[in-house]
Amino acid sequence: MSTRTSLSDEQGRFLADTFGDAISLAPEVLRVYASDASLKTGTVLAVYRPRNAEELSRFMRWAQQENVTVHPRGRGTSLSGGCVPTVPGIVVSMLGMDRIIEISDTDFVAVVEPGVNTADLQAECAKKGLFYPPDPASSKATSVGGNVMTCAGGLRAVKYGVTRDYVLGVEAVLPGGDIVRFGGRCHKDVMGLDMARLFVGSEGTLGIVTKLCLKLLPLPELSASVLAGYASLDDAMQSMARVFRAGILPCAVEFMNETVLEVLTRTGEVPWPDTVRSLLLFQIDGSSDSVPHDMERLCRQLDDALWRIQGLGREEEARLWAIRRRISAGSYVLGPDRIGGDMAVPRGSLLAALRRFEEIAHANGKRLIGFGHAGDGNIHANLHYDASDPDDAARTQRTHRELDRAVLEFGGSLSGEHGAGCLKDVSLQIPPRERELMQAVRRVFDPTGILNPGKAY
Amino acid sequence: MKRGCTQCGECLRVCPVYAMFRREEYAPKGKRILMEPLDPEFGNGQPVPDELVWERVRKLSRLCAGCGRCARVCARKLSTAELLADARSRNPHWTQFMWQMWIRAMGRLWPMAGRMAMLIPRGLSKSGDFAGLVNMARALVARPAPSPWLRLAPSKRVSPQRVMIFSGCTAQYARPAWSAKAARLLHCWGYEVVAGDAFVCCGGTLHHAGAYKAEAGVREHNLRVWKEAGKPLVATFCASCLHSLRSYGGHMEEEDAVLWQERVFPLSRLLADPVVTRTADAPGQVGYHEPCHWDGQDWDMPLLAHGLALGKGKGLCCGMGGILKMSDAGLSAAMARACLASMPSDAEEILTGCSGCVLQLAGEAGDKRTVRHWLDVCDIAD
Ligand SMILES: Cc1cc2nc3c(=O)[nH]c(=O)nc-3n(C[C@H](O)[C@H](O)[C@H](O)COP(=O)(O)OP(=O)(O)OC[C@H]3O[C@@H](n4cnc5c(N)ncnc54)[C@H](O)[C@@H]3O)c2cc1C
Ligand code: SF4
Ligand code: SF4
Repeated sequence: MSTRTSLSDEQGRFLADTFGDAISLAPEVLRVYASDASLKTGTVLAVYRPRNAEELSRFMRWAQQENVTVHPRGRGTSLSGGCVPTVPGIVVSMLGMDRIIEISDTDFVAVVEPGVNTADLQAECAKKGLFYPPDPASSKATSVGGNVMTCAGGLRAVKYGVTRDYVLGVEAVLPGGDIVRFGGRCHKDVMGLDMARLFVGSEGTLGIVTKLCLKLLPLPELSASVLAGYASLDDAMQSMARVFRAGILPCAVEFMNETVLEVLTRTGEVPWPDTVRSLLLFQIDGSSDSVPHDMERLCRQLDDALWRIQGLGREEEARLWAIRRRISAGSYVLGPDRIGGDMAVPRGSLLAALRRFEEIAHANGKRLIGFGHAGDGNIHANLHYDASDPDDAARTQRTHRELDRAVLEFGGSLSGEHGAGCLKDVSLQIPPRERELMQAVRRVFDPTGILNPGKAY
Repeated sequence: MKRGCTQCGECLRVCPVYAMFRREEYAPKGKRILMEPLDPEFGNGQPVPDELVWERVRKLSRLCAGCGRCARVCARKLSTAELLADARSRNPHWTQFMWQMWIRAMGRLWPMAGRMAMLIPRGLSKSGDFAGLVNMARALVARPAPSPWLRLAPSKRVSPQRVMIFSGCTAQYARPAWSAKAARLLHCWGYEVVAGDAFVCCGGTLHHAGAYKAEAGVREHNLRVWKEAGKPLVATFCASCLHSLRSYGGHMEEEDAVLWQERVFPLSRLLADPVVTRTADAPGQVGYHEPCHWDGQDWDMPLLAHGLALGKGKGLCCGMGGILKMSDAGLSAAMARACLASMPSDAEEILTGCSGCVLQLAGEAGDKRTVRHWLDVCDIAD
């Protein structure tokens, strides 16, 4: 790993002469690339924006020769410091490579450059009646390359899975400059090791992705949602278990704990009666024939809910989802600053884990905003505090750390979505021998350790 | 201390300046990362390193068209245009002074500036800042209005109410026909039209320039005119003026503020329950540019859609807002061209409802397309 803290004049000149306008060295530009949505900062020595794989290859050859650290970056929405330079280095921003090269309605694949915005890709697919399902809540803000590197997932993971399930082929530039291609546009391909998917979730530690071949599905014709209210999260979880037992697979199931409902009630009008203390929000999708029928089946399983509203089709559903979307902004009534968790537990342990998290928060004098994707055990465990109050800040940090340990008691994972980045203590979860093997794989791709050091595993 | 940007990145997708460069430093997020530490409310009091003082970050930060799109999608409702205006007000620059002169003192000379710009051969002003300014100046000279495409009449006349027309600088100095047309329409609807000639600039662009004192001056003047007229309804046919007039409420006594907000209207909203007749002169496909300053609620388009097939294209910002025309006219013009290029390709005629958007787009439209205010193509039914 490089320990340099600046580029030599000669190196700066080489970069400017070779890559021209694609290089920035101005301090105000470097500052913008020094942090991501984790708000942690590092030192950026230069920013490089490749225009194609061949040019990037030239840069990566030089970077390895010169032992200069490289930090790949998509749209910088990582919440775990995935883009933050852990050691001073050159940020490689992929946003200039954002072409949708092809959307094929015969092969059901999209070929894209990594900088393309996720929501833009989804919209272009939809125009052809095709569907790219991975849907992180941040999809309007992210790049597809960033999604692939973090294996992003969202609301629809319970039915459609996560980004990994849609990556068929990867082109990447390795430290040293090799351009490699794994996988392709076949939906089935078992030749050799599945290296394309090894890249998925690798958080930019193996190579810089320059092209992706993604699997597409037919676009569902219609969706419908139902918001159901219960006296407690316990009741809500029982209800959800019954839905799954009845053989219904919704495309999203969101839960909200009692604290969330308190926040929603405090920050705006709510349509449910006072007896409702916890909510489930289901969405189903399919054809215009099947959805009304499936909705009826779903609602039959929800007859124990105290209160219920439903919506058929996007417009009617928007009203229901607007409530879910209010959580993030509304939670600030509990404190102007926030630390978020995105842990995952096996689906059956969700209630027990959440209650345990609430206990931990309570013991530290904190409230836990608990909501998330009930269908896949992914919990958003948010803590609000006032950063200008040192005691509050310390208690919040302590709670956050204790939650990480608690999640492992349930056989869970420290991160179901955001990745380890440079902020999660990976050693808590991954045993030494397994980590050693991961590091060894990394060295195969990046023998001198110039790519995203100190990240992921 | 105010809580600033979370770097969630939601604003990249909507910012027209980011769209031109696809580099994070041009996005609202990037500008906030640079400007927040310098702001007394957002900054945390930490000293700012020399290489990130205003003089250094100004060049990037000022590349903003003031469209307000970032604030609308931001979970914290952070307005980068406001942050920039605040920074400018703390750090006056000669360009702000020039802008004030152009808006406040030189309005009467605009038509002449336009005619002079007409004399500059097109070849001499092909690209860059100079061309951007010259093209807009050319657009100050009104083209003759076509014979009407739509005839408007009320389905029933309203109960008589007094309305003052707020024309805004462009109509006042370069397009008096718009104010006259607006008055005739309102009259036809049954309103009693009160002279609004005493109104001056709405103050919108003075605000973006950080010229807060000058802005307060015009605001107070306009409010005085309104009060002296007996606080009637105010109608404007410019989305940007409307946006700016609505901001007055925050500076008024509560009772008056409520009354003001209730009484300031877009002209098209006052033309309630219209009967719209399309004439034989109306083109088949018409491009429609939605001004950003409608803030998501456009009242003109539904009115026009009664009689015209309107295509919005991608709905990009025209690049006129803020004082981008002053700080980077070349970029501003490039944004206008991108906006025009994203319009339906068969739309040779483009309508909009903001004076600034008309001048900006007309300046860059070239010979094949015409950009007009919708008032130019509407008339009252006989
Ligand atoms: C408000 C908010 C909500 C969020 N919700 C979700 C959610 O619901 N689900 C979820 O999964 N995540 C969520 N996230 C986290 C984040 O949006 C995701 O991790 C996303 O996938 C990151 O995409 P990006 O383009 O911003 O990548 P970046 O943050 O720029 O990069 C992420 C990682 O990938 C690497 N990288 C990026 N591009 C490349 C490339 N081309 N080649 C090699 N390495 C690369 C970077 O080095 C970094 O390690 C949320 C974030 C925010 C701020
Ligand atoms: S106001 Fe418009 S141009 Fe300015 S930063 Fe926001 S989105 Fe970009
Ligand atoms: S949307 Fe708001 S908080 Fe998010 S990056 Fe943009 S300015 Fe910052």
